[in-house]
Amino acid sequence: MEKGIRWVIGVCFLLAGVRPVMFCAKSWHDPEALRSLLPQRVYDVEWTMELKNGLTGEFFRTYLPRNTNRQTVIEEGVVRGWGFNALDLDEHGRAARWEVPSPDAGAVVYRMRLKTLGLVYDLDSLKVHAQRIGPTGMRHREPTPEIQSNHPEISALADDLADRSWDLVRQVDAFYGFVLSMPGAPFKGLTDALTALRLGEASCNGKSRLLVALCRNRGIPARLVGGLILESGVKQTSHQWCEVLLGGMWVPFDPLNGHRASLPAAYLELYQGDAFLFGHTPERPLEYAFRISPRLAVSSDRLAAHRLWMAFDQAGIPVGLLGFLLMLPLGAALVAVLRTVVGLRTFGLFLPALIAVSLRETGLWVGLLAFVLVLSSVALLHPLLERWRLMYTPRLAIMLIAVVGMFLGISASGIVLGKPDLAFVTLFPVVVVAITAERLAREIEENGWAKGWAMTASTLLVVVLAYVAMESVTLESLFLAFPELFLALVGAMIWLGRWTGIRALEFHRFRHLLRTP
Amino acid sequence: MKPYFAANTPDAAWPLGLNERNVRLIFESNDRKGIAWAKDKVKTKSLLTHHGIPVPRTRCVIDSLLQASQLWPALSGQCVIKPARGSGGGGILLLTGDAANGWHTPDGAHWKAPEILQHVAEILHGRFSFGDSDAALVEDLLVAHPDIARLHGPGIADIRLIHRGNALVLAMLRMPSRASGGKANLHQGGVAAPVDLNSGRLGPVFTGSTYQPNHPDGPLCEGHVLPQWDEVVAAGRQVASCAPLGYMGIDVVVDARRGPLVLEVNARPGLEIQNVNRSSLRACL
Repeated sequence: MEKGIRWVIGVCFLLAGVRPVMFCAKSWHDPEALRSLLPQRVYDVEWTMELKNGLTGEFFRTYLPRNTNRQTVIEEGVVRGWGFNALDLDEHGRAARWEVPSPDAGAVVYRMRLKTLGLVYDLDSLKVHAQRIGPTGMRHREPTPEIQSNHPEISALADDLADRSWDLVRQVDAFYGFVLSMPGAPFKGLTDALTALRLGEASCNGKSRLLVALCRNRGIPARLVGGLILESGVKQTSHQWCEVLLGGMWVPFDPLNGHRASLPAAYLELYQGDAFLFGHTPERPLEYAFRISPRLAVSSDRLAAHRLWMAFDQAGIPVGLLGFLLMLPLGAALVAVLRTVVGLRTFGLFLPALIAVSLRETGLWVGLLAFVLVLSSVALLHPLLERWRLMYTPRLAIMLIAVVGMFLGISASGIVLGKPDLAFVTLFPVVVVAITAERLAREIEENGWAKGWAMTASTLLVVVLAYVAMESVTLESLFLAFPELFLALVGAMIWLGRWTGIRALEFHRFRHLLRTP
Repeated sequence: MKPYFAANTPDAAWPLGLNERNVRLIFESNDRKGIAWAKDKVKTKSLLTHHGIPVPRTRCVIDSLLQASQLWPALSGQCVIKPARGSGGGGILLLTGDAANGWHTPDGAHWKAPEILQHVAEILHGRFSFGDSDAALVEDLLVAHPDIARLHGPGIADIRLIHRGNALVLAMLRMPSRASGGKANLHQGGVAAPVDLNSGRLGPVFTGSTYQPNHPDGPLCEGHVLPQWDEVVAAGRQVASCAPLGYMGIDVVVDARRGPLVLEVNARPGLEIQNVNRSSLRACL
């Protein structure tokens, strides 16, 4: 490689490295400073609720999250519709109640920005033989119609599982292990503890009730907790887990997803106890959905770049959007590496990076599915257009129309079928998909179906890898803190642009040559 | 892993990879002008003809539908219509017949004047050149030399010569097969055999996965000596000395009547020839 180019690469890396290295040298002993590097992940959660055919004065209510030691409501407010008419703290949580002002009031969209923390209890060093139970605890020892903790079958199981152990922690562990090992089932609606036990399988609420019932049977206070698992996308399912009072702490257990004495940061608590997340005027269906988008928020003004992002944020440009912009070059660089070093073939140079960016909006699986679906149907349209012998540009325009039509169709069917995640596929860059479809069709035409689909598969692989890299909070934080790291990216790309090594897949392609001595 | 990331393949016997081809051959030796020259068959042919290199005879070039009147006298007997800047063989129409009786293609389909005009219009509007406007070229239909034609089924075989400047580096004979439907392109199911540069003798046929003495459709190829090999090599050398490229693939067809004719020049020749020859193109460097 020429000396001049080496110099340029060296200077790029030097300029990119100076500040990060100095920062680390200055603050390696200061964990607070290092932590300030990481912008926090916050979640925007939008409740969309509509009482169908609701008449004036009819109502619906939901539980809105409270501030606890592991979750903080940063801001909240109505985006569409009208504000709640009443907010009560009841025994379960913060109940917000909306009353329909007029029959054509439509939907309410309520948005919250939340920060959550993961939590782990050190259960293994905890031994509890007896504990003081306050009045709250006493309430959570009683059987209820759905938590039949004194039913003989529950008693027999609890006796069987808790046998020979005086330590309450070990007893709860045994109960938890049993309920966890039951197969999960995608039941909708309420399953009581006894039904869950008799069926031998249950969804989150059945399993949680059974675990609570077993604990209560031994006199250990336990309660249900309801909430949401925060993951990018749109969903309607809420989640239930439970908490057991051990040594004066309410220790969380999720017997469906296998969290023992710990909760991931993505768990948002909405209410405590055996309650329904939504209530409404009977006989009027309530339609609801949660739209969850993870966002980054800069938390400290220690670094110049962070102060800049904060200024942007105040000007109305969210940090998440900037992160988006900052990550696109990273995705593109990754595509370049996968093409040049590995030798994966993709449709277009940066199409995979663009698709990966859109997947951040729609969620990985829904986005990929919609992408493949639209891609293949439009590619199938291509031979027809070929037979009519249309010119290149009109042909491309027709394919674009088809792509737009299909996306609108998927969105519409998502709304009709009550699958709101699908409604967001319209955020896909339709032009990018149309071009990709045309490339796929051309590949199939020139090199056959096998080659075309192989190239689709390798494109999807690159998309997923780029998506994973771009979703990395660590990388995003680093680029937010030290935007000059782009120079390092430029240096790396110059090096890559002059790299003349054999691509990994070429070892296979030229195996006949490599084998002969 | 060291040789892998140091980017330097240990010796000349290692295959030439796409990265090395792009950086060390194409970027170094072929400028944009040269690449554009090679892409346009009309430009290629005019330079080659100027230097007295035999090429398929051009009957006419149509770059606007206003010239369509020139088309009909050119379309008599056996001829071929090509897009000047097509790729991968798209848009090539082989015709036999004349204006009075209509035309037919090798597969027996009948073509009438309006259909041919439509095809020419499609070429001009860039259906085969990704939307760029293009010109249509009418040439004499080539007749394969019988000593080559008997090696394979229907279709026409061509010889690919890789030149680094004046030096001929590797050569292969690309043949159509029944599986490729008459096309000689390697990635479309065609097969190829290496050609010994001195003698014109064919080596074993490479089918994409195996090396065998016979063409997959039957005839024995290995050991067969190509007719007029010295003239083929001479034509290649002449092209290399006048082309504005430093690294190129030259496609030659041996015509039964006129001998070796240069079909086209490729500024980014593929690397599959290394598999066919079981030897590396790194000798170019």
